Amino acid sequence: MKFSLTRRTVLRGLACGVPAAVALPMLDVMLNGNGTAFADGTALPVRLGIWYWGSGVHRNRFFPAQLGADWELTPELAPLAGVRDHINILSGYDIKSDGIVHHVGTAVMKTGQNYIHLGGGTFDTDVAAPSFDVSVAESIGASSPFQRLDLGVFSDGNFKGEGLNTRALSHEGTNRPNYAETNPTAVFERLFAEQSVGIHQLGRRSVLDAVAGDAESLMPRLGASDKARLEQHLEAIRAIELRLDASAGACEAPMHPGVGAPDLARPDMVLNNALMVELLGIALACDLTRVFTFRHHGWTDDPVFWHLGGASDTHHNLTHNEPGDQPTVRGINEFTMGELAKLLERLAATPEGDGTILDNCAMMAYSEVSEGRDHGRENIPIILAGRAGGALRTGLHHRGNRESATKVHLTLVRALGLDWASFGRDENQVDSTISEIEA
Amino acid sequence: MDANSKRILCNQSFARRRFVPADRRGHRHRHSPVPLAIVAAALLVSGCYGGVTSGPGADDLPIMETGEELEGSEGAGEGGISGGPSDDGAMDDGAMDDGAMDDGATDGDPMDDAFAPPPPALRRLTVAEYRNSVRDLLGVEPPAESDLPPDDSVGGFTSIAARRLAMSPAAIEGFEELSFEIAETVFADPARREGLLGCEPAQADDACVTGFLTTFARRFYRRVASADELMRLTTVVENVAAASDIWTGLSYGVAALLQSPSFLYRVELGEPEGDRSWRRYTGFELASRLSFLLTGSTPDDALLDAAEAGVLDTPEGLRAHIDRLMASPRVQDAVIGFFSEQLRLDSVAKANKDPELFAEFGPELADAMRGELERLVLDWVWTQRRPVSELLVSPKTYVNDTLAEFYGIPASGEEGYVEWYRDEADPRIGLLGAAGLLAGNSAYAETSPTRRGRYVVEQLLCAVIPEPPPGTETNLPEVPAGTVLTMRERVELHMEDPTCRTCHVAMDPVGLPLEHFDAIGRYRETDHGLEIDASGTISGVPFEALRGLASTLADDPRVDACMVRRFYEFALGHSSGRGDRQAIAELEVVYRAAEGDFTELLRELLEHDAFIYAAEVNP
Repeated sequence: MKFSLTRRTVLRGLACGVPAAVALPMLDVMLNGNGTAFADGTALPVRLGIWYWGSGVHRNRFFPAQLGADWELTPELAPLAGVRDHINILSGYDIKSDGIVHHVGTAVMKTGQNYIHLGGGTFDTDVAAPSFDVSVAESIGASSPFQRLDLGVFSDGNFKGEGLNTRALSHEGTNRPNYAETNPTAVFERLFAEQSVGIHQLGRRSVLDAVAGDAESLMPRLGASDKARLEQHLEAIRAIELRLDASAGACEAPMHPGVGAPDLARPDMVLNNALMVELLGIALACDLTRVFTFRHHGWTDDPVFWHLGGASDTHHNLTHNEPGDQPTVRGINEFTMGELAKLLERLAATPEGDGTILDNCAMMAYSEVSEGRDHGRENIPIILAGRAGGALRTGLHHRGNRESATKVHLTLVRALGLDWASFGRDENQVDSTISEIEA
Repeated sequence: MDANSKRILCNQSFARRRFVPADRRGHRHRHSPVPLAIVAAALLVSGCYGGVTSGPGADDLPIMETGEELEGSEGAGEGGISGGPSDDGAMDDGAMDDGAMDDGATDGDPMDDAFAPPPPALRRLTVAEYRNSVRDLLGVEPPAESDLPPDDSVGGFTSIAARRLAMSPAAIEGFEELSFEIAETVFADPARREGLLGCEPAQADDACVTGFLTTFARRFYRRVASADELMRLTTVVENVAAASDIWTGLSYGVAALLQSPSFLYRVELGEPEGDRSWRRYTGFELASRLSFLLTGSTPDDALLDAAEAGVLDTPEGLRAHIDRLMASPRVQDAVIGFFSEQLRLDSVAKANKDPELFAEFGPELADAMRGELERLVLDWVWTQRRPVSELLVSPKTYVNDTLAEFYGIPASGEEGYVEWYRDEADPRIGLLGAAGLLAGNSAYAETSPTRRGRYVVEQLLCAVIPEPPPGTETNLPEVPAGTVLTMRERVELHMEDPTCRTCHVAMDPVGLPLEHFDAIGRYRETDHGLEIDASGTISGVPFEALRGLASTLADDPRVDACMVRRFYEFALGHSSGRGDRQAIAELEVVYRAAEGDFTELLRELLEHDAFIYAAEVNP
């Protein structure tokens, strides 16, 4: 779809006082008279978003007491007040598998099944299957310039003997992690790379042809796992080729975010989140991608929340070591929900058709344990956001009957219009959806 | 954003950094004004809770030796590994071929231990291998480490990850972009490009260009290129030259070489040999295997010539080239590369400490600690040719003035490091006495007996921390408000929780004896003003403090056995299983007979079937 953009919104700079102008497209110019579909009749996009944070919540300060539409904001949900009507709070959904704490929740919430062991150590776990977002992207992301995006705010870069399962939020399958990019500059450069022209465009295409030829000629000699790896390589080559051919007109590039790589020792999580929110907002508005994962911080990344007073140890350690009511952990939990709110507010403020981008999203935010202190696998904190283009209701607190959390995944995927019979395996397998939140 | 963090951000280079902290990264830039990269791991991120436990009966529990990979135990869903993408790799590399966790006591059929070489696999060039190859092949300074798609780690080693993991789309995009930058650098300089070609190119199919492509394809692919491959390269040159000029065309030809899967992956698949069920690596593949392991780079022309002439197919020919390569000064980098990963020498460089408690801990001190570790290990295993077990009780170390001040010993006044011998009164000794390991295996604000214990158990003994029993949620007692406790008391508070105890009993009694060293490895008499009880046990053997732990470990045959096994895994990029046991046992015999001379171990491995043969390809 080609269109020209006539208006732009300029945002004040976020970093170092340098104004960063960001061009926002006005999708109206692309739409039909009613604003309900693209001018050429194709439906507005619906997107899937996964937003994750590590080490859980304080259950008694997170879940509302009231069910239905009249739920009241709790201390840990209070930061989401501005988007209260755009979200659902889900309680009563569990991780049904047993296994190493933290590891089991991360695996089941991603893939609907437990982890496997990959390398030599007890904690070197990996996923057994592609993650939910990857499977969904094969259907709804296939025609996007970027089939999926994986963004993050904090990751510490240490391996620590903890497996791929704990370090990535998205996986193509076993041995195939999709790590979150935590550098806004890298995201910017990937999404808004200058279009190649002239000789360079010809040269790149020519080289990609040769590389694809080399890869294809290697393929017959390989075993199954190497084939899968090289196939992924080839897909990446083809994606580059597709973007080479794509019209440059889809979206005007915003200005450079103007920051270097995050300081891994003391990342400015607030700034990093703000930039990622902006970049993701633009990417969605420009329809550069329809599936994203957003890994705010993992439990094993050991983030220290420097900017919150008193946070003198890593989040994970504090959940176990801070005595009493854990005021520091409370602060981290509230802060994290506030960071989620920023993304939701951004998407809710971007008009699209007769609604907003958020209306056309199906988003799930969750953690891998219910409460870090005791590693609970019951009552996983789950927040849904967006109406999936009208397929979902919002503004509700719904309590499941101690069912598998994978029911949420199936509900989302059906809301996205995909005809999956079931999701998950073994004790995590579900074949029905949460009808209470379906429109 | 406070003023300080603002300054840090704005001081950072605005230069693009393509490859970034996706998950790992975190190289330290020596002169960076930015504090050390990377937040340290704090308490042990085990499955159990981070603090942890010990208690009555603790010492009775044996540490299990690893025979092989752990299979997914309860709840890990064996069903998950059949069908679909889950079959990839995890099955192919023999990681899942045993049904149960091996405790070393259940061996029935001796045939289970029959030697089977690791299966073949594509092996992605690591960051270091890519950089060295570019430098050696094109004579240009390679891109900065931070501009390259980062290495990953599986089973403790980059090399295992390189043979197992798929490259992400972002990584492949990165290699694409880099290839043009490198090629442009090479061809922008008329003297360099003419030197590279050695002839005057006129058009894509002339003898000069064809000769260049043939020679360089052999170097880049580390084998003779096929006619189809040369045709594809020629087409690139031709297409681009038609729209511009021949030099530009050649530049894109070199970019194609740099992007080819035959360059980015080491394609070592072997070929059938007679009616044997194994595949023998071809001469060219062996040339790559030798060269990358010993020199960290692509094979030179002499090695490729030997491969092409069939010289590497004979034991004598192979040995001659092993001898030649073993003399390369780069071999020492390979050795330190192994120990750096196995002993996690970098952990201190990635450590992050509470600046209010540890004002002196910054990049300079962390660097000094890292430097001590590297010199200590290299001197012992490479120069002295002594076994790692003895390194644990070696009084010899290396300090610079920064570190001397930290240790409270006289400064030499010289630039760089000087030897230092610890006397009997020094509470420190050997590898574990180096502050870098003590700090690197501590938390942000305090020590972590669990993490220190886990380090010893996993990295020095190759033992397995048992997995916690499934199902039980931990419910930990709280520290009474206002009570001051030692780390030991806090750790033991939780001993009653059986879930936690399962794992932590194997770690905490090993780490608690190091409590005289705080979170940055500084000696302390007391913990929160309270007396320190530095007693501990390992595998049921009681000991006292760091020196006791060190001498107990020095007598433990598992230490050197662990190094042999892990070196085998590192060199082959393969997590060992039952089929590797026999080979590892043979190597261990050689290593012990050579009294811990690491070069003998290396040499033995290079001529071992495990290095020369591959298992059949899994279809």
